Amino acid sequence: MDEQTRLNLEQRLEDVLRRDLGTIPVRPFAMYNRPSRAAAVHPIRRVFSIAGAAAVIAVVILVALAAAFALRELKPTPATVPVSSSSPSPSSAASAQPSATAAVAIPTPVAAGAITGRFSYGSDFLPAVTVYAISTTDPRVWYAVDFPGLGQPPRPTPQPGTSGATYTITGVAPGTYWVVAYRKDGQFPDPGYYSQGAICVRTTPSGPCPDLRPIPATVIAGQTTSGIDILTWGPPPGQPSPTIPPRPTPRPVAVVSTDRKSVSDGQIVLAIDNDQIVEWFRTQSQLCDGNINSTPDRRSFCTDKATFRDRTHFVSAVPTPDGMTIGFTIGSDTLAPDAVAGIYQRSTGAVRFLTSYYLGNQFISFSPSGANFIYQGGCYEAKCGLFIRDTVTLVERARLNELVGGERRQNATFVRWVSDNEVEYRLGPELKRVNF
Amino acid sequence: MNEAEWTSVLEECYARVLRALVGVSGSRETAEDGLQDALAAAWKPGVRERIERPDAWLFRVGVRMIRRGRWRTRREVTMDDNQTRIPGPGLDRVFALELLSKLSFHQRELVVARYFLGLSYREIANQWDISVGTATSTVSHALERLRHDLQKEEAGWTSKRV
Repeated sequence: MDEQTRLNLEQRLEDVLRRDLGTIPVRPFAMYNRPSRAAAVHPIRRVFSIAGAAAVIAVVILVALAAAFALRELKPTPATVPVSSSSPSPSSAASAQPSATAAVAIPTPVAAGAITGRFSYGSDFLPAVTVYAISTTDPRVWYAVDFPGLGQPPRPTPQPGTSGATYTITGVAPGTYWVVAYRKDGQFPDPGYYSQGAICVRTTPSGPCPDLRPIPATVIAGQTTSGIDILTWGPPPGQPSPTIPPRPTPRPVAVVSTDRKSVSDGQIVLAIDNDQIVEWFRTQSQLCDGNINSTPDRRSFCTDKATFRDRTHFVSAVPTPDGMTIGFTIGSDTLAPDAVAGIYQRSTGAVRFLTSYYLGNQFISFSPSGANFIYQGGCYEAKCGLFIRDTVTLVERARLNELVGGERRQNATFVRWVSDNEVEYRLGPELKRVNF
Repeated sequence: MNEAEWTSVLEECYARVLRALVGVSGSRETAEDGLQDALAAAWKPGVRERIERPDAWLFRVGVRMIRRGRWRTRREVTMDDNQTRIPGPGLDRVFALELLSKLSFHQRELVVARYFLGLSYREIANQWDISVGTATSTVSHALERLRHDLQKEEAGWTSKRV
């Protein structure tokens, strides 16, 4: 090959690789909780970022105003209707009250990741465990999933075609985590954990793999970190470095405080005058746009945070089993008994609103593992829809009681979760189930 | 390199290294696993302090993990159907992957290191602990093997543009 041909080939190969590999979509790397990055952005880039954000906000405001004008035409005079109780009830409390069925754009959620792996245990069974992902930088931040165990007796039989000996922890904020499985039966060896041995076994199946030190798993936003296998059981000989983190203390259940101004688990988890809540009411609830002078106190509600706090309250709050996400319903004396449903992600501090501010909206409950949740919305003349979304991605899994000819013919009420992927609900007089 | 510096470096090079590993393995999942293992390796005490060029180091260690691993066997463990997974876009019909699949694994890793990550032959030699001559001749043999396909692709590309 002459020099010129070689140079041409090299250039061509470089072009092909950059063109093809360089455009393979991958999600960017992100680490958990790095607020300082914003301050490190170059000033010119920051100006462009701010300009871009301002443009997006302007478009959102224009759309919201257009929707407001359209929807206020449909909005009726409020009537006296009983408010749902502080605990999420499957039954609908709405009476004959027309309300517009505004579809609300869900903001882009903060992308969480997941951790998955398999178990191996030196016996013909696997004990029941709780698998924890514990942040390497802050042990108070952790996620968990229960594994019921496998084998005799009396443990579940895996589904045909599966080993059953796998776990997946979803909704994990980007970052690095120790992955530790603590037994529920109090026996030894305990705990199991992800160690250097897991990598060694994968690369050198016949061993030896003497290094059993725990190693962290890195979670990337929006991606599933796989291969985090729990093969090592019991603390390694001597004092391991780094040490295996202790079993996290279960979080107290978050409930609505007695004054209904916060959600609390001993400490305030979410306050009613949280900036994101206040901002949503000011810009998205339609209470503070064209109607700001409709009642004497409306202007102060919209402009004064103390008044807002005084007139707004949590109707209900429901935590996920791990306590890291809280579903809520918020109402306001300014326009009662309308309400808005939303969820709060403790790991990111993000408040996400799921509905508009109208009568009948309410957060209902999370699925048994917390992977999905159901809420009620889109009510019209006491006929409501039910919506099921993924807790992490907020992707809609199912929509029950679809509109027919622009309206709902019957009311849908939630009955129970059959599993994480199936609910039972009542549509008019009929009891139904849906799998998703 | 402290944690903040390391994070900053990862932000800059993560996608590039992952794409390079996709080029070598032909599989997004395998590449992600390999890179994950490389990141875990970098976590070991004292390792990050010795890394001079993080993208090259992560690529080389990721390749080693992929190469040594029994990935196919591991993949036979069926995952739970109920778990949430976000499938990435398919990699079918990516010409570069077809091209690279015609090379041996070793040729593939050096070609990707040279022409995608932009490592010099000296840097390749240092990372892979081989001589510069070996690095050069391996890449040359790879070029020779790809010559026909590259020339055909160039002709097709040119005619399309005309």
